[in-house]
Amino acid sequence: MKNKLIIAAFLLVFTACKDTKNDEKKLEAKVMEMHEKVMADGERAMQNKMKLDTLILKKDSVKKAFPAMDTSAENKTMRTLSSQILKADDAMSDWMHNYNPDFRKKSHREVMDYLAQQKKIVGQINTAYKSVIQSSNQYLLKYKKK
Amino acid sequence: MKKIIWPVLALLALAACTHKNNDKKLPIYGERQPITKTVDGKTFTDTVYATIPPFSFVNQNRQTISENDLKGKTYVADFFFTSCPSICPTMQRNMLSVFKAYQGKADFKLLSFTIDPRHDTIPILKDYAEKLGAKADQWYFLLGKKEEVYQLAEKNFLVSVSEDNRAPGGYVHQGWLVLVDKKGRVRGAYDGTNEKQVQQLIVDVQLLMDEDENQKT
Repeated sequence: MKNKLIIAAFLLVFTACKDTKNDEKKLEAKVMEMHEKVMADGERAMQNKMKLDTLILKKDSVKKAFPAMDTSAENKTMRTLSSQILKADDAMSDWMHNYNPDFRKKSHREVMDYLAQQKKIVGQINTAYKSVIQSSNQYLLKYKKK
Repeated sequence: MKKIIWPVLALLALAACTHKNNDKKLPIYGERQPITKTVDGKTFTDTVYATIPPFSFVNQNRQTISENDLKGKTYVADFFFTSCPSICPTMQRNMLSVFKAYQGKADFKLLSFTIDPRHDTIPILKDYAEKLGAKADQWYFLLGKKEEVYQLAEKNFLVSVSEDNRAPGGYVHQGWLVLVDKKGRVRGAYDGTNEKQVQQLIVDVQLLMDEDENQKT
């Protein structure tokens, strides 16, 4: 009877450990999945940044193509959009740089808290990217007309 | 007589296989333009294929690497960053298999472009390359402006990927290993996280290395 109890206790501990590890893996996979999506958005944002930077540099050609345009004011808007994209991009690369997947010295609770926090940060970066992609897409539309 | 037949048959089979392998041609990706030439009074149409445009980046040994260093060389390029927590470790491990398969071959190179130049400084790239076991004279870890890397990746290296996908963008961080021939033309993109595709890449590298540079395609 005593032996059976010991085996049962071991099995219980083993199953519990397996479950906590699975929970950590699942949450980590979610963070990574989000990160992958944000990276693709980052690429789209960077495409817009390159278009904006080119337009800023080619101010004279823009003036020729759109004589009625206040190119100084437009340049200011473009610089703001470009720096917003850069800010979102820097936030993403800082996150990746600071992310530490070494959980060996952390308890299950600490790992789960850390991953939940990371998920939140990546979510915030995602929101920033989405917003700046939308506003720069919208802004760039006016140059497509010609 | 019977004793002779078997080795002869085996040799014939081997010759047939080798011949078949030599005949296999990899596609050429990117835009192409027909041009009309006149040689010795005869007019014929040739095709000009897209090539990787001129570029200049710095490698882990602070040497400038440009398209001139890759003239006449077959190479594989990928896009990564050292702090990548997701696909890059697998992709770079697979890139290492490609490196090991052709280690020491002077006419074969590997290029890993970082897409995080803010953090991946030269010392960090050097350390990363050394830990991975890459030799600096064959495998270049390249640093340049992020915009330039994205431009090259999207418009040139990943041309075969964008041809197959309708949604624009989002390919740079998908772990592609891009195969480029001696003339700087993209000949294939392989999923760097898929071991089977990486094995195919290793086979295809040899095909390009065996290709005659002056041969018409």
